[in-house]
Amino acid sequence: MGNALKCCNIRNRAGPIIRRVTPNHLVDEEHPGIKPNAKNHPNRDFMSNRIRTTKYSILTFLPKNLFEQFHRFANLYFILVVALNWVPQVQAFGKEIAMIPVLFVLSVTAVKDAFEDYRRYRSDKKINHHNCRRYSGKEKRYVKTEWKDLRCGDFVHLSCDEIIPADILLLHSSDAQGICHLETSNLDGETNLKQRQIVHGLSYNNGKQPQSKFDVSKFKYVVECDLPNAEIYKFLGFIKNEEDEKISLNKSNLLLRGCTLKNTDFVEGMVLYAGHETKAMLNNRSPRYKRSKLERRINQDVIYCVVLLLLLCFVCAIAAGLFLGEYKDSTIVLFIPFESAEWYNPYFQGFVVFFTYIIIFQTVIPLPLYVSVELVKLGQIFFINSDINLYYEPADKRIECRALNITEDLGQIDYIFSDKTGTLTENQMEFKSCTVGGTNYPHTPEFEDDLSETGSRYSLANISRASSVMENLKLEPGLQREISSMCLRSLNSVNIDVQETSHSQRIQEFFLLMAICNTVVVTHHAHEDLMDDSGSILNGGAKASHHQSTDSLDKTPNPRPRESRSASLTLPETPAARKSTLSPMVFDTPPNGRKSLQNSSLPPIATTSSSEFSLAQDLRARLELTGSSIGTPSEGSIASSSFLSDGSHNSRYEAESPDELALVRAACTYGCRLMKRTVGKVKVWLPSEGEVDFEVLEILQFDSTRKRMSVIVKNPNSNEIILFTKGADSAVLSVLHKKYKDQAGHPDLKKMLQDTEAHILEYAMQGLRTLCMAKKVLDKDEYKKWRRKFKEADSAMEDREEKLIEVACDIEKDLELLGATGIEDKLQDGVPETIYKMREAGIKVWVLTGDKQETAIQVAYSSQLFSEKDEVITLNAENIACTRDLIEHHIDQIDKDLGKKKRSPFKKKSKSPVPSIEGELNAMKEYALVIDGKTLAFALTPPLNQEFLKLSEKCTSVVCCRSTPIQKGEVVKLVRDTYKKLTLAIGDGANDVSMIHTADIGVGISGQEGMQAVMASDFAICRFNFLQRLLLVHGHWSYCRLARFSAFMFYKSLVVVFSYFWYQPFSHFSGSLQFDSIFTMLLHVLFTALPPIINGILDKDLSADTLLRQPHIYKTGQQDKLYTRFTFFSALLDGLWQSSVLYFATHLAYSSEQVGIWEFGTSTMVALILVILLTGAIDTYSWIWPQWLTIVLSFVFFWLFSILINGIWFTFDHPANPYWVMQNTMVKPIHVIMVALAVTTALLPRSVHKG
Amino acid sequence: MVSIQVGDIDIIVHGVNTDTKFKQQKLPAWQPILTAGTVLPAFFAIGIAFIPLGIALLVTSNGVKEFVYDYTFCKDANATDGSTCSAKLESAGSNASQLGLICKCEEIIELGEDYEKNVYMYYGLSNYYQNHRRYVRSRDDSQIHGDSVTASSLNNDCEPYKTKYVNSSLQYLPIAPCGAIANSKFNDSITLTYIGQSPEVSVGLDSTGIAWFSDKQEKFNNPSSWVGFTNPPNWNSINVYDLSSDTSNDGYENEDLIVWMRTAALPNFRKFYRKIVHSGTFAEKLPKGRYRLNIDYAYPVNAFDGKKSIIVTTTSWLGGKNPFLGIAYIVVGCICILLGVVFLVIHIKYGKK
Repeated sequence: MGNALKCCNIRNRAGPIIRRVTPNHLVDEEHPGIKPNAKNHPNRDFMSNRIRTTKYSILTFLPKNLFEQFHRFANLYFILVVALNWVPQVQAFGKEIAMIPVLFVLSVTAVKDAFEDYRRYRSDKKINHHNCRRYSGKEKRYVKTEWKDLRCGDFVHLSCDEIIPADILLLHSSDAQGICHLETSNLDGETNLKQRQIVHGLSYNNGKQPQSKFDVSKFKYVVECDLPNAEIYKFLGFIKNEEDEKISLNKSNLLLRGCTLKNTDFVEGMVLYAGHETKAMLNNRSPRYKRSKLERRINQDVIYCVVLLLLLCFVCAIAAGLFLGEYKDSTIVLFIPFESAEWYNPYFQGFVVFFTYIIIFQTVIPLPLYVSVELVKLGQIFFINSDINLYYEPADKRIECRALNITEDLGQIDYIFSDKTGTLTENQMEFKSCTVGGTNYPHTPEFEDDLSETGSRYSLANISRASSVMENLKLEPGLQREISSMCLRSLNSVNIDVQETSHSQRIQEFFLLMAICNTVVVTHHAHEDLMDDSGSILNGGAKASHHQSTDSLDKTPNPRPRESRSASLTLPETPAARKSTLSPMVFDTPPNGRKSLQNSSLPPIATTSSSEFSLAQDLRARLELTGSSIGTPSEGSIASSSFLSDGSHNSRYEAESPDELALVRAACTYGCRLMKRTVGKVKVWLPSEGEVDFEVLEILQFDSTRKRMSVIVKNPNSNEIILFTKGADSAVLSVLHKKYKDQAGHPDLKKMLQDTEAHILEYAMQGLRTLCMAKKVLDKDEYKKWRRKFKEADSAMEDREEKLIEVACDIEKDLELLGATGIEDKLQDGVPETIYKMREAGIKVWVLTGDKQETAIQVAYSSQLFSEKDEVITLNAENIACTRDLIEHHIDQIDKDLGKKKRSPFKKKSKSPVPSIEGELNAMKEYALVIDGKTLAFALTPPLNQEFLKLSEKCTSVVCCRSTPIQKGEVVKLVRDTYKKLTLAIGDGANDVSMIHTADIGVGISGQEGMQAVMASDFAICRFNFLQRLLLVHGHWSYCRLARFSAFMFYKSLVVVFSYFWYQPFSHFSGSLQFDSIFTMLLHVLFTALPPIINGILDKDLSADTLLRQPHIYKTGQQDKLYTRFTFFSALLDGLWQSSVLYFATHLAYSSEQVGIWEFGTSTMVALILVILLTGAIDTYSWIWPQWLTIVLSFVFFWLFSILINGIWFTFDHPANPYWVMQNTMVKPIHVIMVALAVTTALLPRSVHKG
Repeated sequence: MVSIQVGDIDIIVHGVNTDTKFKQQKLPAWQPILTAGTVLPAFFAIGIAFIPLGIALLVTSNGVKEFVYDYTFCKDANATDGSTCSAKLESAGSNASQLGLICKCEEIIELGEDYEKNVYMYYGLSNYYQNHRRYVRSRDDSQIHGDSVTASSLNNDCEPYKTKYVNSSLQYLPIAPCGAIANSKFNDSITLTYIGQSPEVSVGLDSTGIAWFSDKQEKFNNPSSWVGFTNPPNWNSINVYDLSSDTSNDGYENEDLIVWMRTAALPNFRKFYRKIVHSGTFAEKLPKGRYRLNIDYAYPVNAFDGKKSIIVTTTSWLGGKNPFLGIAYIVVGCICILLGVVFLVIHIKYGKK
């Protein structure tokens, strides 16, 4: 990729750094038949749209892969040892045979790499061979082309739901306003639709009619733009038109590769960046590499191994020198043949033999450890992935393991940092309460009784509930009455007359605001393109009907409302469709109502929350960004488009956030219906007026500084310009008109504010999310003045965002309060149990949320994070000194409390021999800490943060509310770095990315808020309660398995190395081995490799049910109990014992026999392999057939292999010349008797320990 | 993965079908939990099996009759001052072997009991590291396999016994067989005479059938021609094709050579020397009484404080005389029973909790 960047636009290096793209059809006209890479082709330097994400090609695979593998230290070490074995003086094993293990490990890794690369290659190929339509200058029409053949300067025609093949400048859209919508979840993970605009101000008809029909052949402009860069949100460029005016291009004109076209029949545009130069490809991130805690431990033990290796080598080398030095004249010793006289020098031989011993004892560092740990983890991942209990049916999603090498960390988590919204809660917002003008309209459950009493009046509401589409929204009778009375009075407008502001008017405005102050997009029909895949235009008949359906909503009420309604109730065949199809909400006439609300004329509205809608896109997102192919792009697009066409006559809402969706839906329920949103226009159906087209003058987007958003609209009836603002209560209440604060002037207003504030607090106490609504009528001149400033800020090149915020704040002041809403975010299923179990398991749970303190505390209680007996400590401070005092005060207080508790109840008990720990725990009071964002900022400053941690450590759970994304990350970092404990962060939104990145394990919830959290995470799950199983079961298993696997691997190499060692005193410390080198080389990689790996993947110490029932078992992992610093030494001791038993049993048994070195070794080898396999068997907890099978197979394989290999005469295994050795060994009864004795004795300590 | 179009039912089917018990890690497990309950019987069982087995082994081993005679310092039969052959060889210096120096010596031994057939003779060497790394390597298996080899194609591991300068042909010739193992071949020759009755009867010794069948058949083969080779330096004037008058036991196929070439595992080792020919007086046994050993003492072991011995032994199904296995079985069996008792006590005392 780096090369790709460098090679392009070399010629531009000296000049202005821009890219100049010439339309290819122009080039074709000038130079017919020119090749795209011909010298005089203006676009020749730009990359084509063919992508290649593979690392290797067939030719480069071997050298490149080997080169990469040699970068790993362990591999390099073993290669060096192999090289050392080629030095004749030092040589210990058969030269060729000594390479087997290293080659084996290298080739296993190479096969793995090759397989991964092949998958990338296949996915590349699939993407490259995708079809799209490209304008052919020769044929003067669009023709079918494969993605890979697209080049910069090509014109492309795209239909709805097509994936965009390259970065394309939008030049024409089927939409009259020249807009189209994009779904960008592949790129930034946000599932909401982004609006894109065509380039305005260009003429295609020789400059006469600017808006005339777009024709590619008339486009004769050269586009100048930025060099390729990875910034998705930045694009600048310009086109010079005939008058030499620069028409500037910005990001809203660019369609990015990987996005999906939505809500538009078709678009046309020119490719500016292709292939690897597209922003999507430049943003490709490789998966990150983490090293687990256990692995760090293991690496420490590898250092012990190195020390042991050197120690053994030194001892043996010195002994070798001493042995040789004992002879008066070693040159006449018959069995010491050195080539020249000076080599008989003991010092020299000691030196030489040192290296021989390095070769012999090399396996003390377990060569296959690294590769087999990877294999074990892959196996664990496979089983975690296929766990049906982590499968979320509504989304048809399994858990997704994105990091492959930290499974065992899941079993050692000490801290969980959780987001609240969308993680603990569903993030499916339900409109619960509102307060308008100081009057509370709680949609209380008691109302339900009311409803049933009043009976059939609300029958339609009942129907809508029965169809399970209104999501439990019960209409508030009072509110409904107000609306209907307003309809009765038939007020002429949304007219804002300050003197006469009636309550019902305020209510209508309130709902109007809810309906239009947002970014919700209404879609209402399936998009059809008239061009087929090969670029030819379909006939006109389809076109006519198509247009009719497109425009039906604009022109007349839907002619078939009844049918479509009944259809929408019965039609859905898929659960997704059923869920998302909202039957038309129809009001029955209120008790005293006379005016019918023309309900039949209402077009049915279907809403869908964007996440359901974009599941297929999520799949593709992963495909594009990680290269792992789960579904194909084409499948995805088919799926989503057919989904759309299911409800082709229904409209649906697509919102950026679920809050907005809930508000719009609620407004819709109360009759204030958002019907259509286009650039600069909103069509709303109002109960009092029917359809009204508001002109949207400006939208001031939400940002985290202002914490509010506004729209400025013009009422077509009254021509008033109104600013509607909605936002966090603090953000809105602080910018109200000062008359609300003025006691004297407006006591009623003051009271209204107080009431509203009281209601907001009440909502928060119920755990609702609150939003405040306000409005302001703008003076025309004032607006005009402001607008100029706004345009200036908008077009600013530097600090545009800051300037925009400033300007927005200018107009968002002196607002009039309308009311506030309370939206419930339901807790996900199983959250309280999960949190309870986490706490049982000794995991500290912190909730970091951006919500209000009251809401957060409420959720903390309802999710069992705080229990009733907990004492909640709240830290709210205005400055750092105050924060310090508070923290210190609370620490003292707790210490005092605990001290008292400890002393008083235990004085009496102290006589009992074993004071039960549980009793102590019960006696202790538990504390919970709540801290708000401001105080948290103080508490995180360096000297104070340790104090803060001290306090938080004394508390079982901590809630940080009003915290910013960066604070979340800082908190995680603080805990992680100070305590060196394992942390897990779980979240679902972009605001959790920083903490997910910081934590040792990041878990993403693939939920409502897009893919960003998932993209940053190591594991992606669908529901919070999956965490329970992931940690308690899979985490524990993985940790337990890997801990025992690693211990076993160490034991295995130690026992082998020591059985080499015991032979040294009896072979003159010459570096001689009793084993045939074929066996020593294959011992680890073939004969004993499989059973531990199978155990590492499949063994279960306890069943899943037990682990879930008794969460405290999890503490064994937290406290590193299964792999301690003693683990290595116990492996060492066991290795020493077993090897000495094996060696000396053989030695003594054969001492009075004529025994050759190879029979001797083979006899030991049989016992050795049996001992290793059986030791593994003793370590096994649950016996299932793969374990049986591999153990039996391993031994049988070794046995048959040795018989076979010893039955053939060959010389390459010099000096072992193993012909018929195994056969001659095993026919002797002494062999079997010795093996039985040695194996039994060797296993005694371990089975005693186990027993 | 199922695309979004698929409804409820399909998803469920998909879930059940592809998720086998194996994938869900719910395979039935037979779990021999190592608790006191299962370990206890195992210990007792091992104990009960091992002790009788050990006794049987011990009895077998004790039934083997073995006579070991160390003749390292046997008297030089030709010397009048009672000096030893060992001293004679040592005084000849480092090249005693190369000179082909042979010291004759006679020893009288007495077998305390009858040695029933079959009786074998071994020679034993101690402190002799035939398993030295460089020594073990110092051979060429292709050469003794009978493949045609030249001076350059011989295994370099044979150095310094790979080639030898031969005056008669004025060049370096490959040594046959090359390497230190062959060069240091044990070359004492021993004969046994029964002197317990008169006349003395010399015991028939069979020098064939002492090597592995597989070695003789496959591994060691004579080349088509012995031309262009020279003998190992320590062999004096003897060539490899002079080792025996029996053509089937000559050259590389000579069984004494084959036995020697199978390097011993331990520094104190014994090697098969001869089978007693059971005929005449010795048809059933080697009767107890006095025997005379006539030794052509040519193998120097002083340089490494080695000992040479001659071993006359009968054999059992288990092999030679070695009480180790029997004792070890009894000990391990006892330990197992002891552990079993300890566990039982613990189990009874604390097990219920």
